[in-house]
Amino acid sequence: MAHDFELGATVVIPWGIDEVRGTVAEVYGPENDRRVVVALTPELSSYVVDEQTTVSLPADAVRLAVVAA
Amino acid sequence: MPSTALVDWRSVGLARLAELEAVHAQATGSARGRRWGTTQLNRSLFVVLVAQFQAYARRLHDQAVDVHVAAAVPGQQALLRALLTQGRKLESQNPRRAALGSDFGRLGFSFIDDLKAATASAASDLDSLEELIDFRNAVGHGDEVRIAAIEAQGRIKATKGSYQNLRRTIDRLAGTMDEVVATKLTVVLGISQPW
Repeated sequence: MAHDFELGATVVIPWGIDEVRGTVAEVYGPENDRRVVVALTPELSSYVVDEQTTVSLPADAVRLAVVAA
Repeated sequence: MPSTALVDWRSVGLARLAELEAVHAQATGSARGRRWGTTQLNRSLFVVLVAQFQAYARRLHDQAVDVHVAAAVPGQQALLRALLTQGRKLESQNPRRAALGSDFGRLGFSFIDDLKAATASAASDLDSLEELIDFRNAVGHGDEVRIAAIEAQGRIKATKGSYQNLRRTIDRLAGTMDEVVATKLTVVLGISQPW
């Protein structure tokens, strides 16, 4: 699993039994326990949040979003 | 056994502080006594101390969230992690008492009260943390009036001795936090000591 997320990259994260999109706000932690702070907005996250916020996840739980051609 | 967060604080975190302390020693020598022209270097020690403590607190919260998530049923796990970290104050704010209490309170216990009850020194250690962050913010914002006011109160001075005292206090607080979180997680989740 690649952990070289760039700040601002659009990513997909698990949300219960579904997935939502966010953007990478920060990557931190030692190499063997890398964490990603993902910024969520109502629009990008399919309105699972009603205002801009962040969540933090292990890097393994985050994947880059496929950008539509 | 301490958490990985505390192990990292006492190895990586304190090593990073030691790097700056070594530069200080090179610049000033090792003999006792007041040094001149080291004010900015001394102030930077307090800034880095807060930064390293914030990194520790966030890592400890991460580990505690991992324990909560591991105890949940699979269908709840991703959502529980999101809710326990959503808008976490330690992402963007100083690790003050209010931020620590709010973030760790989501884990199911009254963190600040539990800290105060855990050791005789915890309440005063938390007060020292607030003073340290007041000073760090004054330094970070270049607020010389505020810096002078804090120093005039005798709470903190931009000296290596004052820094060393606070580093010991913050290290003690970090150890107390580690024990309290582990103990309370056993109660909340009905599990054995997580670390």
